[in-house]
Amino acid sequence: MIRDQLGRAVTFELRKYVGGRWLLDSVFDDKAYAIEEAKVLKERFKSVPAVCVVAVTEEHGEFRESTVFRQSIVDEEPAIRKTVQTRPETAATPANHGAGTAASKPQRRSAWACYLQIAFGLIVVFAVGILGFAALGLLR
Amino acid sequence: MHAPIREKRLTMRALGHWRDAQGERLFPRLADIDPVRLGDDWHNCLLLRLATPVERSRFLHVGRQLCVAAGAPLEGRCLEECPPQTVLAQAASYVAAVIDRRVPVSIGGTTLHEGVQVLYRSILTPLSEDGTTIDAIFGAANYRVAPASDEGVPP
Repeated sequence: MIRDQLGRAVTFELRKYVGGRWLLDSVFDDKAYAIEEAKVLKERFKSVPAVCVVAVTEEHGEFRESTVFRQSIVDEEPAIRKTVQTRPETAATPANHGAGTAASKPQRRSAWACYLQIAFGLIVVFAVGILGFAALGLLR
Repeated sequence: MHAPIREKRLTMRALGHWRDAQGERLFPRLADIDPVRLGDDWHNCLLLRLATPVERSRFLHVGRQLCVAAGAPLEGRCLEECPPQTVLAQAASYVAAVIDRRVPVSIGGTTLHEGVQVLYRSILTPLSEDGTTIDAIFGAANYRVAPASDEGVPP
């Protein structure tokens, strides 16, 4: 167990995105090792679309999490690769200790949300059209 | 499924071996750990058959690099009989964490080994016969003498 500058216990959890959720893969006491292993895991297992390393800090029995590394198949697209893969620690939020917590859910909106939005738009356009025709019928 | 990759660090190679043995399962079995495939790394590896309480767990294998020079062989001996202030004792000190978290855990740092200050890096990984109950541990560790002013990275 290592401690940060404030003397708090810190571990680094390597998590992988499998079956639509983040699963704990392994635990390290060293950030560099965790990130190195995350890259190896991503490279070896093509079925794993995303990996991340989360720093878990324990203080007074409470656990804080912050993502220190994240890599996904999206990051491997040339146009998107320019985005920083090794990020500085983001704002920490209190969260329960363990894998699959809310803090580790993907931030991007899912494809289903986009489809639903498009379908809803089409329904609205169709309804407006019907109402327009009905109004024209009434005016005659 | 994946291309063979030769890791430069022993603990990462041991973890890679565990992942290969794991396949699509949650945990590999004890019999899946292959000393032949591990090659020279086997001398830095340990196998532990878990028992309750965990201190009663028994060593099935302790690589010669982890043995104490003047000590008796540890195979068949309990975890609590592990010589203190050794890399092996340090590596075996977080067996409970592996059982609790049910994933590989890697710890490193400085410790005394046979009276010498060393930098070490270790990893412990869970094994299971039935895929649910963790009944054994596969681990690996290596170390190097820490120079007096060395604050560098463990091996």
